[in-house]
Amino acid sequence: MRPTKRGIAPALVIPAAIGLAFLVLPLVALVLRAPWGSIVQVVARPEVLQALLLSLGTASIATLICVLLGVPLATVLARSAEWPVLPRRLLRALITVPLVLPPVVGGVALLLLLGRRGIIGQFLYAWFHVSLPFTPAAVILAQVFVAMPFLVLAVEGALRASDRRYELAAATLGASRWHTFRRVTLPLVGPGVSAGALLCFTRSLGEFGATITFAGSFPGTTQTLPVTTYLELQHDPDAAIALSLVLLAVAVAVLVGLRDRWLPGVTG
Amino acid sequence: MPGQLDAVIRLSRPGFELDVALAVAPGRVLALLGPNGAGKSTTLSCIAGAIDFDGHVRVGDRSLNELPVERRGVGLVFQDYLLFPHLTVEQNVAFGPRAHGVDKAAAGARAATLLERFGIAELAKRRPSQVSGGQAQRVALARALAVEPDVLLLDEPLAALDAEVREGVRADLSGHLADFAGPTVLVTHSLADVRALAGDVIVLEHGSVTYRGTVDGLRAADATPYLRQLSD
Repeated sequence: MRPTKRGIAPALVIPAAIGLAFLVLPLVALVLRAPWGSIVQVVARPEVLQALLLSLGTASIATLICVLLGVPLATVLARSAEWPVLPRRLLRALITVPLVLPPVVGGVALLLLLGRRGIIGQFLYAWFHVSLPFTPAAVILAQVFVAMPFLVLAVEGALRASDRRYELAAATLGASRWHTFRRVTLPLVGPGVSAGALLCFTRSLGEFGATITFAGSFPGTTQTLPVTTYLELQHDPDAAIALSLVLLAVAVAVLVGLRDRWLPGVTG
Repeated sequence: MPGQLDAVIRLSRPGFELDVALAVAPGRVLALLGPNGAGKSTTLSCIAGAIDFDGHVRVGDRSLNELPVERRGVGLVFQDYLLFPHLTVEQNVAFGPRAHGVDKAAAGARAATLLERFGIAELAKRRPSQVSGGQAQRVALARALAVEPDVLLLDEPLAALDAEVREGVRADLSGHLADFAGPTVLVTHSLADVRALAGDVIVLEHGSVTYRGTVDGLRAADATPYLRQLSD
């Protein structure tokens, strides 16, 4: 039993309450000002529906890519504990950069790499006539760039928390490293992968800065729900509020789906 | 034809030196007895290939030194059994054969046969969380034997059990060890385990061998306080 008798100091309670209010009140304002009567009409508008479908589709593909690339990366990161300090810290820093980088900078960086005159993009265009910017593929790439760290860190946390002796047990039974990974390691961190994928999906769905920079906002091809929301705010605030509510609902649904598993490695 | 296990293990870590040589004939059970921190489990990890060390491990004329864990043919039963929690009891036992490329049906059949032999056939569809400690111990042993290892290593196989069930599981284990044709190394800190299960014994203290011989000879051993306490 932990001692529970002594409460929290009042000097902490007041800023804590203000902090919580600051997080909650904007959302309350959103709900209070919502044009409840017209939400259905707004969401049913063809251009909104189009944006919604584009967002759901691109975010799903981005999440899939993040899982396929991020789980192996998380495995390497988790095992890097045995490496020398410098490469270990470098790897972690590189993976964390997109988390702290303004997304618009990510968009610029993607343009410089994959744009038609970008470092790789120029060859894609010259050899295959492929131009990525301002396409749905660019939307997906922007989402992968900003969202993958969430998945990597969630899965890495789960891997670190899992008992590595299960892998030794599998090896003594004759399982190769690949067999062990597929049949033991991955199932054991399954909840971490699900949690990471959900975070990834939400982050992808909400992506704005990198998307508008690298993919632009062409209705039907690159105009995602957050971009539409921003554009609607200029001339139809009610529509923007309605769309915001849709995004808020998705976020809340994901949070409920995660329950207590939204911290890396922590399961409830 | 099972071969003899020969191992010379030397390991140097800050604050810990391990130096042990052992030889176990096929069908014999060697107990590694000693207080906590003596290096018993570490010795098993070295034989299994989980830890690098100086020296060698051989089974018959086959050197295991350069082989990865999965190709050593060394079965290991862990103190806390480490049954895969996401698999059923039967899938746990079938895991090794599956990893060796046996198809699903044949691996399942082999698991079912082993569970039958261990008297736990009714647990086949349960998860490890739904079986008792004594049952989990049997499952772990069945799982290790399912791949027909050349050598069997048991790390404190009874330590996790309550005193009431320990006797029964120990008697059971004794029967299964008698059926195993290869060499067995049993790590324990219990003299009762040694008497019931092993023919030979090595006492390890602080990484060094302080007694090597038969179980009966242990009574007369008095070179260290630990040995004197055992013979009391």
